[in-house]
Amino acid sequence: MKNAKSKVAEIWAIGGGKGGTGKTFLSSQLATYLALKKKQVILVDSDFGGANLRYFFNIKKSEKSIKNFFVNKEPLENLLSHTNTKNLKIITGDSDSISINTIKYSQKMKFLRHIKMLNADYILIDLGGGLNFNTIDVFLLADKMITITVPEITAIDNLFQFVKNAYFRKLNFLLKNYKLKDAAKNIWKDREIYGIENIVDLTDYIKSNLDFDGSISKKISEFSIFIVLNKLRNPNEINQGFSIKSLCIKYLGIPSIYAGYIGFDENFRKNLSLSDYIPKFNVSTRIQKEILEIAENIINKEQITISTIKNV
Amino acid sequence: MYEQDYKKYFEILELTHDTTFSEVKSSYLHLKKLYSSNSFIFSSLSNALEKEKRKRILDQIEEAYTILSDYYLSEKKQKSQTIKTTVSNEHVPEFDVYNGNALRLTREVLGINLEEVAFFSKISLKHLENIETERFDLLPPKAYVRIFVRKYAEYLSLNIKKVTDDYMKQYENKK
Repeated sequence: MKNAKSKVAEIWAIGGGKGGTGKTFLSSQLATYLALKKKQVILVDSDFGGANLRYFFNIKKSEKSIKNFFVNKEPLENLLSHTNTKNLKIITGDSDSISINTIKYSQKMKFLRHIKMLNADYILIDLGGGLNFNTIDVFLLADKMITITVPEITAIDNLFQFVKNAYFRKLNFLLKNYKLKDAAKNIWKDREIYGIENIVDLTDYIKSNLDFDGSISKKISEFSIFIVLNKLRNPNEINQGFSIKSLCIKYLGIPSIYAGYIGFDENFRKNLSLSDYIPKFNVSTRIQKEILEIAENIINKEQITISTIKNV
Repeated sequence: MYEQDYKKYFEILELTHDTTFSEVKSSYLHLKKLYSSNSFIFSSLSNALEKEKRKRILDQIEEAYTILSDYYLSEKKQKSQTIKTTVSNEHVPEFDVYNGNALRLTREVLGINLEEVAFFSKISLKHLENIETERFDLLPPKAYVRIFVRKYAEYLSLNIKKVTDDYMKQYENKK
């Protein structure tokens, strides 16, 4: 099937557990940035519970939404809406009729397959909040898994839970392919016997006891996440990104990249609280710069380092 | 030790190997601070609070930093031998008396910029500049200056007592 396509898109998923951390905002900005770089971009609102991507693109409640795919079995290509930005199309979500829990397994698999088949350079998926496995499965489908959080303990806590759940699910899928279904679960259950304290230990155990040809280790190490910190109110908070990254690496054993941060913006809030549609959604030049850095870091798999943030 | 053996130590400091020494130092200081603190961030990983585990991480960080410092030092030496730069670039010079200029020179030899010092010491960039240029009239009261200089010396891994004593003597004299 893939050969029939003119190009293979790179999929970016933006998630992170808690609602209100800026997933939709970040998705829309990254998509716009990539489109301005003359890439063909499709942005999919897969936040089934609270779809609101259209607000950022001034699209009125659309006839065409993801609902048509699930309910009327229309192909995803038919559901693309044009935006003001050249090269950028979006598939709007629908929060009225589908609840994520009612989507059947087969429907979900079909959705994942069809997303991969869309014709574009980049496909960005805006995920909903929450930790349920439907959200996590879409997240795991991505080539670049991007998480966004804010410097608040509740949000950071949610991020850790989200990443942990995603990693566990990935591990289970992976081991299933090696006919080791439930191995991770069972080892975890008897972790005291094995002397396992955390996910790092579990991964080490699997690597050294179940991995005979090194291929499991290789696949495990491919799981890596990008971290973006949003709504910073003072420069000292930038540092928290390094701390979150460090804990993901040292306590969860997950390779993590701190891709960048976005400062709090008062005008942004004003923009969104207007009751009328705004003709074009504008962000400040500061935010544009921050987005540029985040996007380039994600493209190149690079991270911000402490000395790159001197100009705060 | 071969190049790839250092990879592990860069990983412990959460860096890629093509980074600068200044970056290594910054990351080391950040991690050291994080894992010696009781940051609220730990509370979300309940079994993560164990002292032993943190101690182990701190030991690893310390080891990685020591080894990488040596690595950069030897690399620098090799480079300066091949390019034949001046001898003073090879190691951190020692000064008989530490004044603002001595601090600046030490910092420059270490390849650290003032913004970085400001970031970690939480001393404002302006104060640091005034410390280096000895604009005593623009600096806050004496007690603060002493703390700033001490923090600055600590960041540069200098003899804290000597640097603060030297610097404050000049501060007293000129003020």
